[in-house]
Amino acid sequence: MALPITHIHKEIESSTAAKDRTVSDALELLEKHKETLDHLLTTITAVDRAGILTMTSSSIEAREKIAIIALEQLTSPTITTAIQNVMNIVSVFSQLDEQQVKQGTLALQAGLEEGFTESKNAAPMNLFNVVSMLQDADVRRALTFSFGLLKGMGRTLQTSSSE
Amino acid sequence: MALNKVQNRLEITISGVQCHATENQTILETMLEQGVEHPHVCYHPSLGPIETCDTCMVMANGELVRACSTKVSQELQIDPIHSLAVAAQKEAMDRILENHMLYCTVCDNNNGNCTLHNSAHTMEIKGQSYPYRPKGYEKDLSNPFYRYDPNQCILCGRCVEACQDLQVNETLSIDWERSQPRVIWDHDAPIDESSCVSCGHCVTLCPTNALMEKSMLGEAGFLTGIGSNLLTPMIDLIKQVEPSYDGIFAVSEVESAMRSTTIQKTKTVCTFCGVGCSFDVWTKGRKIIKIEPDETAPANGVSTCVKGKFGWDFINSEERLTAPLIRRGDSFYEATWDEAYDLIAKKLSETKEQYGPDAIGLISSSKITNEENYLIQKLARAVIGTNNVDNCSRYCQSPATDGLLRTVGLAGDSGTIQDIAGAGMVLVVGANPAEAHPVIATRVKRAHKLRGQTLVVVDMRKHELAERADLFVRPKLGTDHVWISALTKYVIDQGWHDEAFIAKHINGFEEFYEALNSFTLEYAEEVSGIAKDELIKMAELIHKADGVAALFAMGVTQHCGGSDTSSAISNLLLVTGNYGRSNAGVFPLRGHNNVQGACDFGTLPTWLPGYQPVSDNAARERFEQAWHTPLSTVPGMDNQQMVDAIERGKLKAMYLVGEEMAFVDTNTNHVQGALEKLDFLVVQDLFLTKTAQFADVVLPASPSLEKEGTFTNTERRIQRLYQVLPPLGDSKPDWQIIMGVANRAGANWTYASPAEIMDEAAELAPIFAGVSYERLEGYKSLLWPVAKDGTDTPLLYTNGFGFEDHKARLAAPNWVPAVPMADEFDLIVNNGRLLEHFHEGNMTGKSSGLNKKVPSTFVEVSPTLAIEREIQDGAIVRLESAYGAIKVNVVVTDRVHGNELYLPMNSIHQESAINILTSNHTDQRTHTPAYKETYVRMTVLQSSGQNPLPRNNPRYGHRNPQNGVEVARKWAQPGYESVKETVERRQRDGAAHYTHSQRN
Repeated sequence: MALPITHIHKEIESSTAAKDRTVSDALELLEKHKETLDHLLTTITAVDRAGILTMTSSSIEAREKIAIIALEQLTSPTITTAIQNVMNIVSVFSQLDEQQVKQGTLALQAGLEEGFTESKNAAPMNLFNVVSMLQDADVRRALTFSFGLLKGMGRTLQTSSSE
Repeated sequence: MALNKVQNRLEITISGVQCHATENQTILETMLEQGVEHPHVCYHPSLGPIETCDTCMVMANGELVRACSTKVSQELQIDPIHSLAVAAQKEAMDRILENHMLYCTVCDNNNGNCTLHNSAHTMEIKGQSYPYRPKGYEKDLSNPFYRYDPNQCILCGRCVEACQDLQVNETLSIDWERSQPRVIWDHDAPIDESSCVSCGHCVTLCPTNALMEKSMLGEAGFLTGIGSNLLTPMIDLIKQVEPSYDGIFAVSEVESAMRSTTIQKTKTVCTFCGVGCSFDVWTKGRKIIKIEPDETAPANGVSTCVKGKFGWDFINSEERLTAPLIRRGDSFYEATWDEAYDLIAKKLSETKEQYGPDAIGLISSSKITNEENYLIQKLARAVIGTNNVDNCSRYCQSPATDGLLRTVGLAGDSGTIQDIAGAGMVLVVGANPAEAHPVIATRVKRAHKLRGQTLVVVDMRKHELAERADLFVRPKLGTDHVWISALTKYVIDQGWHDEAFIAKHINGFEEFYEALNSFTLEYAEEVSGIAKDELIKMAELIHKADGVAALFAMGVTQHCGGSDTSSAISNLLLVTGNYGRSNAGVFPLRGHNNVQGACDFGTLPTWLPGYQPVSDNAARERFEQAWHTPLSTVPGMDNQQMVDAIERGKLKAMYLVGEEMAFVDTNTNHVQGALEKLDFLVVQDLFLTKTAQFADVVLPASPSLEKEGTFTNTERRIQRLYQVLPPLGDSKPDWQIIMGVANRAGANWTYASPAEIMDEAAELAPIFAGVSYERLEGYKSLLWPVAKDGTDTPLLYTNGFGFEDHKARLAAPNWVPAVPMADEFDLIVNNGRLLEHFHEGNMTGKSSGLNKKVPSTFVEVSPTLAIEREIQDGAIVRLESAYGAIKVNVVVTDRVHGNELYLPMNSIHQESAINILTSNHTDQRTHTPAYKETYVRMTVLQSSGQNPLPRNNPRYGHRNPQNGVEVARKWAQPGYESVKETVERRQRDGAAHYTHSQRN
């Protein structure tokens, strides 16, 4: 006659046996990864001596508080605007044609050199000199470029103000 | 025989490239088939076009159209990247993003499968023209399983379409007329107080994070557990400073890739019913965070029910057994596997020596795998030496198996779920698929709602399909055989039988027709109570229908004449030619997940695996040769006979796997008394069930999610399940335990995996000849019989029936009336399943969410009886039968009528379990208990009290049927301008400025 029973005697591992098993598992792991652990311990010791370990663990522990402080700073209007500006500038740069930028930079560099040379050597400019300069192909090319630049800027300014 | 209509091939061009399309395909379907990446958000192949999002716009022959809903035509020129099409796609996405904040990196839905994220990314969205604005509604967190966040909802309506037209629960709709439209439940009730059955279709199909499993929240991502005090400013900052979404997408893609290393996604097959739903289980450690169905799942596609989607808490229940237990005195003691195996081997060996092998019985489970069932019958036959092996199909499906074997020769559904969905008429007899086979019910409800499929329900109880039926009739108890036979006779009398089919495929028609002589409509009306006119109407519907699919279950089988009624259903289908063709056939709906497989793989007392009789010398010799041992030729005892044999002192030891026999067998006082008398009982289960409490040794088994194997669903479809989690504690997969027991008894089995067991079964059972794990990989499946070359058989009997002459045999009518009600009783207790719980509830009872919906069992009482006995909801009554008495709370409902009660079987308590009341009467041919023929008297102990079915149960909800998402209502709103009109106006006017109407 086997009457229904519900009571279970659980084999609860004694705390000493549990500890022994944990230590034995850990020793097995140490044996397996001895070399790696040597390196790791050396590195960690150096990091600890430099005080970085304590700093890191404290930061991790206080991560939410730190994140809130950082966000408060980042979301202040001036910083947000600054980040936006940086992002916009980065965005503009990312869209420029690499060859054109290179050519433009070289042109600017040559222009600066020529400009400084001219301003040191030449006499003050009169109307005749200006007309004469306008005959120069290089000057005319630079002026065409400048007018194009102004036109593009003007168009964009117009679009932005109407939005 | 219906022929598949040959589809015409059309020639079209996509972006100037010529390709082929099929007639009736849409542009989007064609593009996806051709591998053309094209944005689409609201379209899902399981739902078809719903036209709410407009992200799929293309130019077709120069006109801007929705790719999802526009059919291809000959020489159609499709330009998906035309500037106007791209502008429309962008405008559509802008309107979506106005409703949805992109914070993907910190979103729990960022797992690589977020439709919106992926679409926006594909479209290379850099920003949005209309700023995001919340809708001003609170999140609805009331349902225990999922939440709705209106402020993330893009109003695509996928959830609504799924609820209205796929699951057809008709709970969700979009209230388009509000200034800020949103999804509502019923007529704007909180989710938990609505008619929502928590099937999860809406959550699965939501293309965003608006509808999400609660188990995912704060769990899926690395940063998603962050509190809103930190999360909200973080999202705001990123939104403000990021000039383009490129960066945001890149970071979220990286984070999503990182998640894939911590979230495991493993395919399994559900264990909660015979439909055989398969899906991926997402786990993080041992936590189950999501059930994700896959549209390629052969039985269910994206469909699930509440148990399959949300009912897996039992896996990690603290009540799980984690070590073998051995009885000593009045306690169980935890033991090692060696101690347990030694004891079992010793006791079984002693019993065998003293009383012979037939003094030992094994009962297998319809919940464990095919391979495990194969091993249990092998343990019984080859190691112990007895055919005393049975499974729980004895409690439910054996009469159906008998009825089919007698008439058509094979014991399984004759077709697939697609054939049910495609039938012209579905006849449901004694089955409640909406609760017991929910995903099959969705296919019937969908076909009925969208395609006008005729639905006829014959049942004592008005369940959901009965409410939806074109014709619902309530027969008197145990009279199905009579009205079905009368219907068959009337059909023949009218000349509506299929003479050509009968002549070609059926033996003994004349004799059968003659034997039907006494089954007139008048006689049927008198016996069954079904009006003659209704029977005539039923016959007319059968005659007119292009294919009849008959679905039946326990309402047919659990009677004294269950087998004969099953044969009668098969007879009706035979004479009307509803076998061997698509969209018709017989569907005995298997209850447990592997009822079919447990029988197929031979845990039956008279059958070897693959339905080869133990008396068949040739078959038996094949097994003897393979197993290197002689086998018993004596058919074994079934479950019922084993219990009797215990009482008679003939059966001394029993090994019982995964069945709560002490509650699910009939007349459980009797069964429990028998279990007490066994000399030795081994029970293998997940929990210390009532049955296990009688055991001498309890072996802790692993559930389906902790092992590999295969299940066979009601369609005969064999599907693989993969190991999702490691076994808990020292529990083991059943196949390993059975092998351990066998080897300790000297068997020397060496199976390294279930695949090897399947290989052996395939060698020995011709119906599985071509079954292998390679052919079942992932979501692949095979429907038996499977030929050696792997060809399977979704549709049976296309080349004749399962007899030597390939001809079906009509079974002579034989009505076995129900057990008469004794004078001392006046009420019938019908009984069965509830949607929310699996069977007796040992597994689903561990889910707090399911328990919130249905905390306990109850008895349904009709309004007339409630008035007569002066009782209300919550009343406490004592029900007393000739076999026992229970005490339960009352729910008054018109689901039952007159003197009929309904007692759901979800109880593992002696004071409320249905089988305390049921009798020892059984089906005459198969010994399946006549559970449904139970009579009681009712004593009122308290006339009112707390309603046992809480108000947050969906049965109290008020459905809101709609024609899907009803997008035309959105388009009809004042001020609405379609995407097409907007972009064409902009092109015409050259206007770049924003004139969006706010109505999108």
